[in-house]
Amino acid sequence: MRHHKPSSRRHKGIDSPEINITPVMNLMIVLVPFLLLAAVFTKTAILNLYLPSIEDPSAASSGAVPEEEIAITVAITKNGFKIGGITDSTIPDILMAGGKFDYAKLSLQLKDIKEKYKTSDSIVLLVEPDVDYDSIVHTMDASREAKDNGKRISLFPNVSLADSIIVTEITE
Amino acid sequence: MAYSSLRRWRHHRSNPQEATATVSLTSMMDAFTILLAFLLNSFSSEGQIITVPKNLQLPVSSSQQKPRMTLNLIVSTDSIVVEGKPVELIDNIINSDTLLIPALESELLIHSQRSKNIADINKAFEFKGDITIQADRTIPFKLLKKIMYTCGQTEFSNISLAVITNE
Repeated sequence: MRHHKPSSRRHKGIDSPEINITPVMNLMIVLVPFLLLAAVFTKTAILNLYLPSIEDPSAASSGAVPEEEIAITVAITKNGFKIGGITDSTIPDILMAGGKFDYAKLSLQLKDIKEKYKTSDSIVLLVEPDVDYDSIVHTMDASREAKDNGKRISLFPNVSLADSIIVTEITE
Repeated sequence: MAYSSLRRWRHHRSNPQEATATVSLTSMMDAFTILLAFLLNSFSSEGQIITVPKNLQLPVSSSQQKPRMTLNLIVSTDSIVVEGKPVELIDNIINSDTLLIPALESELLIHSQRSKNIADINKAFEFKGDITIQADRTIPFKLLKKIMYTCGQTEFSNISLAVITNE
């Protein structure tokens, strides 16, 4: 025996109308796994390299660095970094720290050099044959920009690579 | 009191219209909608120009430059692949005395010739010698040097290195 007040009886027919969300749920269940599979979680980027082109032999011989700018070189050897190419060669070599290259120290040194030679933005990495690609890329990062209190400072964005045979000619 | 509530319950059960239990999906819908929005955002914001093969580990870098559509050269730990076509095995060339890799040179010449032919007909297209090298992080510089030298000799002098951004 259910008794309803006249006021509640009036609403009895339209008791809580619900939207049928089951089709939407079906759509979600299909879309979410598909998008999870297609989602890219590693973002790729590129690093530009400048090689002297074969039509310009003068650039090739001078290592693609204009005459008026100083050519800063960083030699990557098995024992560490050797900064060279500038006239005051009082910069100490950066030795490996704990079996790893000391990129932070290199970046710090290059920041000091950049403050002296503000117009220059080219750097040549002289790499020994057995240095792996990963170290080269990290060295390029250290020479391209330095971090200062969370801010990025551009150091020498034009990075070129060269063989380390030249290193003996330049630094010694 | 207890009796009447039991009777009411029985009454409910006997009525097939009211016996169907509905699961409340609303909160699940909310979660899925947020997830869907997030996934759609990460899906559409960047078209994938570089697809990295499973056996290749790119180095990590702080570079933020977006990849471009260029000729694609993959250097894995065992072979060199140009635009999906295997060209040369690493073992054959890693200890060679010359800087030039002949198999890679002939393959790159085909591509540069094709681009130049297109540039002759279509004035909007220009052959700039762009190439993207996707190299494994473990390869030594002497191999990279040979590959870069060969690229330079075949007029692909605008070399970009593919990396993974670390932020």
